[in-house]
Amino acid sequence: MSKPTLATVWLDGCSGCHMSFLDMDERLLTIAQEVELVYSPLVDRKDFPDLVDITLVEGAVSSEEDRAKIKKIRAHTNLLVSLGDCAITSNVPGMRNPFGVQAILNRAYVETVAMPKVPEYGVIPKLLDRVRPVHEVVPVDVYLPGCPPSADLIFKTLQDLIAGRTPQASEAQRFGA
Amino acid sequence: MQRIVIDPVTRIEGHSKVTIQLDDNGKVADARFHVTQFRGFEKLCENRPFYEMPSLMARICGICPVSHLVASAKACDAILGVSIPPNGARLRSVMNLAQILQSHALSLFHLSSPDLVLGMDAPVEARNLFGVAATAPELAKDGIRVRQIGQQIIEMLGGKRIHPAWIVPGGLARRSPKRNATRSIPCCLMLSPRFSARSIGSEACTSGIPRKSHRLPTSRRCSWV
Repeated sequence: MSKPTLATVWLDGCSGCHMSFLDMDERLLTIAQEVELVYSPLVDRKDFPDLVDITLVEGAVSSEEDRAKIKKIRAHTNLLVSLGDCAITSNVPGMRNPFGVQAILNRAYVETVAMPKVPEYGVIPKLLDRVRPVHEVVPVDVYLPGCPPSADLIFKTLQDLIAGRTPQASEAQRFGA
Repeated sequence: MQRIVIDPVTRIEGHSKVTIQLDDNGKVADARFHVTQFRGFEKLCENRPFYEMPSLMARICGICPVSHLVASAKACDAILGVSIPPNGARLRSVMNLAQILQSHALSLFHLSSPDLVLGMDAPVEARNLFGVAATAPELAKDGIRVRQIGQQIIEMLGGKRIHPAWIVPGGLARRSPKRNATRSIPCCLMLSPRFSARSIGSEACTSGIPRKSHRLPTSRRCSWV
């Protein structure tokens, strides 16, 4: 039997959850023996595979690119895991919601710079009116809270999922921890 | 007119793509590096308490949160009009140096080593840290270890590896949890004997690296690494 496949994706986040994934340290090599990492910022393949067993998603959905990406990923993933508070609550990326897209672009590209010009979409991604947590866009199977979730929690959850057990993350971690 | 798109750009710490615009003669007419993420920190921090800023700004980047913690805390120090205690400044520096250590290890081992060890023509599936681990397991382990040491120093000081809420306006939130924590740092930097310049394998890398100069007496080794 071939090994289960694993993918990791970052949407609108800080990469900290991926760093916590790397904080598994040598346990990374244990994980690598049990699953095949087929798609991730850490590997070179650029197109999402046809079917992945477990996908960890870091970050909120804040641009049209993010939305298209997560819909495609959901359609090609068995178990979708919201990794960290941005994916689960939209957290810091969601703090822009009360202001509206135009106000945040103006602040960064017009009001605070010597040569004001908001770049056209394509140069920057087309932002959605509101930043949304992943489960508001597609169904999510497992939630791993934390900013970021600890390496221990990620390791334990992956071990559970690989073995076919239901992980109980809420006992191990609280939001914002 | 042809447009070449590299998306995403790999081997770097962050989200980006590169677009290259060719003219009718196939020559490069324009090239752009895009950071494909925009969160609006410039706006979303407005009207919030200043003491939230270091923790909030750290979330700009989870790979280099300490840089943002320090920059934001310095801005807040200036708002308060205070000079922080000298030991506070030194400890902020120690945490920042630990971050440099982990980030350099990440860049070299976790991200770039596949190109250096396996070569640019290696199969796509193999060009990652785990492919390196299959070919050169000791090298991959050493790389993981170097990054781990940087992260452990951050954790030892701030209680958490990523986004430690330790660097605050006016100095530091509390004394580091472990007494005399910094005393054990030099021996953490004495990497395991496996991590000699030889394991990198090239003469160019080994020249100029003193082989034994970083060794410390056994009595000063620490147990937690």
